[in-house]
Amino acid sequence: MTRRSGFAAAEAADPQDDAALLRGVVRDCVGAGVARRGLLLRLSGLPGKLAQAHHLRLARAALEPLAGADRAQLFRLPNSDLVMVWRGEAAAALQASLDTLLHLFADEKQLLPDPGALMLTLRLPEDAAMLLGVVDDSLLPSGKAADEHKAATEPLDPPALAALEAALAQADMSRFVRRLQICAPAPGGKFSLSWEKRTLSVPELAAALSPERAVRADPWLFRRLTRTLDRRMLALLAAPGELHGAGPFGLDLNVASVLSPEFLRFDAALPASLRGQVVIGLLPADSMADPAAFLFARDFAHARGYRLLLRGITADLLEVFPLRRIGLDLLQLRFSPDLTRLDGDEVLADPSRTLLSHANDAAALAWGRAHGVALYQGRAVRAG
Amino acid sequence: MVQGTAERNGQGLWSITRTGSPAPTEGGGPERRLLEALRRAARQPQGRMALVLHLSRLAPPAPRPHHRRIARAIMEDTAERHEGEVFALGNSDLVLLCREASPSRRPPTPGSPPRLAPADPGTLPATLARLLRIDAPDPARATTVWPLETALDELAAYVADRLAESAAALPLVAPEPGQAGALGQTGAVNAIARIAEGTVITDLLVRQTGVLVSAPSADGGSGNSLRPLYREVGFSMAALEARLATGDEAAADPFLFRHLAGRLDHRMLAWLSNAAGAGGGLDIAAAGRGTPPLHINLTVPAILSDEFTRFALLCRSFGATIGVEVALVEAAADVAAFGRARHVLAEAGLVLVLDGVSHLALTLARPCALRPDLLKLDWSPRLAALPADEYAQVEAAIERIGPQRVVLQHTDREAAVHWGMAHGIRRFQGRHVDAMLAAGRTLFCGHAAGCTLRQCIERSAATGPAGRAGCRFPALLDAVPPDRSPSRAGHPELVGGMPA
Repeated sequence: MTRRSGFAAAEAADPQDDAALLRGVVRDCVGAGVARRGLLLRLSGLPGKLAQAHHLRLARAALEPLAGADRAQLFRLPNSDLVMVWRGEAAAALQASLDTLLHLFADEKQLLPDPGALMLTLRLPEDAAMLLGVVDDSLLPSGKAADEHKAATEPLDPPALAALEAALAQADMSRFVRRLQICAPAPGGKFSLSWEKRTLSVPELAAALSPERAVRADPWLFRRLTRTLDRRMLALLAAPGELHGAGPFGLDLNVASVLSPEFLRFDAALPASLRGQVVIGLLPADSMADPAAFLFARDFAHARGYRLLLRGITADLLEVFPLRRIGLDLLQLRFSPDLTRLDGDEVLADPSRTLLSHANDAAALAWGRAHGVALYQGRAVRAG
Repeated sequence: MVQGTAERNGQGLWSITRTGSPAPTEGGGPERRLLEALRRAARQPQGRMALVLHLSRLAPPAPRPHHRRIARAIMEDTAERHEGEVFALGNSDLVLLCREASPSRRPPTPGSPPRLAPADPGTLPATLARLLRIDAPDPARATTVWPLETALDELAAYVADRLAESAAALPLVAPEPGQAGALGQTGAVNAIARIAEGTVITDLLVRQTGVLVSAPSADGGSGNSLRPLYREVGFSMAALEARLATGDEAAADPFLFRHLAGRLDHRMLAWLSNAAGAGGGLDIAAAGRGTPPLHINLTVPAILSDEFTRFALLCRSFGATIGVEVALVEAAADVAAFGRARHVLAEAGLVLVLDGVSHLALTLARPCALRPDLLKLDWSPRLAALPADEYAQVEAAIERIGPQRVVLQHTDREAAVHWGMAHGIRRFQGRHVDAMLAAGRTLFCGHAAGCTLRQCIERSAATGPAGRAGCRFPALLDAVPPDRSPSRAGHPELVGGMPA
């Protein structure tokens, strides 16, 4: 295996060779059980105006802090995606790189509403299947996957949804799985990991399976799609050995998914050590769509030892869905500047049971600390 | 009716004798397998028990597929740990035969359901009763536990009855949603939208009148009076599905149904805009000339569309203060957009109605915080028999929004109106109200003798000429009767005995 940490070397190398080298690194990690960390920059997903040569150069330069990490290697894939792999945590360097990248696209909200979606932190060997999928995609003719993703403007309609659902039944979902850290404040201004939320990357999945369609354009058809995704995720987690050695984790599910045969199979496969350690996020609208089914699912999940999170709560929804009234365990509150305009003491009835999501900057953290929020998720939060 | 009896024979085995039914089929059938298992268990009944979950006793639409699926999984979990087996009978009941709980593991005290996996037969009835409490309010009716040592006869009689039923009828187990029909759910939704988009829609629309019930007047009136407040117009899903013969596929998935609603909105707005000023039951301008205003159902994106802006201007030009009904689930899914829609309607001087609020929704959330002008509460017979804590929550919610802003809908019986009146509610909509209004029309119709009350109700609900065929006084279907309401005209029995 070639060891390269120089950025100049990466610049000069043939991306086809880099793809092969990266594949070798991943396979070595899996074969030898060697742990590596990584950062994937999906520059192929940049809109055209933000994918100019100087953008790509600046993005690559943003990875410089990580070049000093132990055994750092940078790979440039044929579709212009970048993958940095290193050994050890290198938390400060990683954070510095992420901050620089976010800053780079911070003023391009119209073209790139969520620059964080371009960046994926990785753990090997756990994310090996996903990373190999990324390498495969990068080898498609003329960056096909990325081009099609950019062209996805046609809204999803029922026939396209049915076709997508059929495609999902056959697709390997493991490559689309992502993990998000949910953290609690720790001494010294740090954070400790409470659990990892496991989720599927919808943009990547849509780009791969339904490239011509904007899957979120119709909110209700998208909700229906999420139910199908729930079941595929549950099937994935129920696979033999999938949860062996796993730590506490969380899942976002529809109510109907909690009541599905796939959930029962997942529940049966859940190791005893994880019973009581899994958090399921439910949407408040689900409770209003079918309150009887919601109550049934809530009580069933509680009886099986799951912790239930009321997710997607915004400043507007706090008054409509009080946590205690709906009978769930945790509240996920999405940070926005709107929150800072609400009255101080009465905003949160249960800060010790509140998770502040989208905590992407210091303002969010400051608001959370001022209100005694117990849990955080976002780009400004990282365990370590 | 088929009756079954069970007898113990001299060898300790079981024989089932039945009267009035054909012989049971050999082999097959969960009932037959349950009988065989019971025969085996009866040889050594000590320490063994049967638990029956009476899903067949739940009121429709229960038991739903998830009731059966989850309850069975929980019971099979117990079976696995206690040398047992679960039988899913043709009448939907589930029977667990297993070893009893060890004496050291007691059932939980009432009110403290177990939080962890319920594998103990002792805790199982409480767990199942809690899960099913919405559909089976009486836990004693939801499950029966029969220790084999002491209650073998009762259990055998139960099994004999089920055997007799299974021999007499095919099992009625509902298919899983989405499995039935050649089109499937997504196909059915698309086909329905295409029908609504491509044809004259009056034959697909139905309407229903909401009324204000007033207390007897001080000048000696003997009963309550009804005043029509609005006429709600909406697509008839039954009519749409009938054209496709899709059963209830489209309505079975709430997400697909909301998508369909969004597509139908555009058709509705276009139709109402064209019909404005033309007279008839769908004329937004007709209100104020003896007919109540229209209420239409719209999605939030439709209210925020340019199409609606033009429609609102049209309403203003005619001085029509129509009501716009938004489903609670739609509002909760995007409350920021709902807030913008509320602002749009307020600016246009139109009435915002929050639709589809069940009493369970009132116990789980605070829909009144969405600040609608009117809130439509769904009537359910459960309202009259709620547990004390849920009753207090519902009562407090009505008080918070103000009973004068609550419409009790789906009032299909007099008891619903009684319940509403007892809680200060005066606005009602539903089949019982339809009947009261139809009875009122017959007092003024010279051709009433030629029609039944049901015909008058159905013709009033129709918006197109086809649905009104046979009525010889169609103007009365649209108009408010002159100042002689049914009750004032001497028909207090229509709303008889309601508290003021």
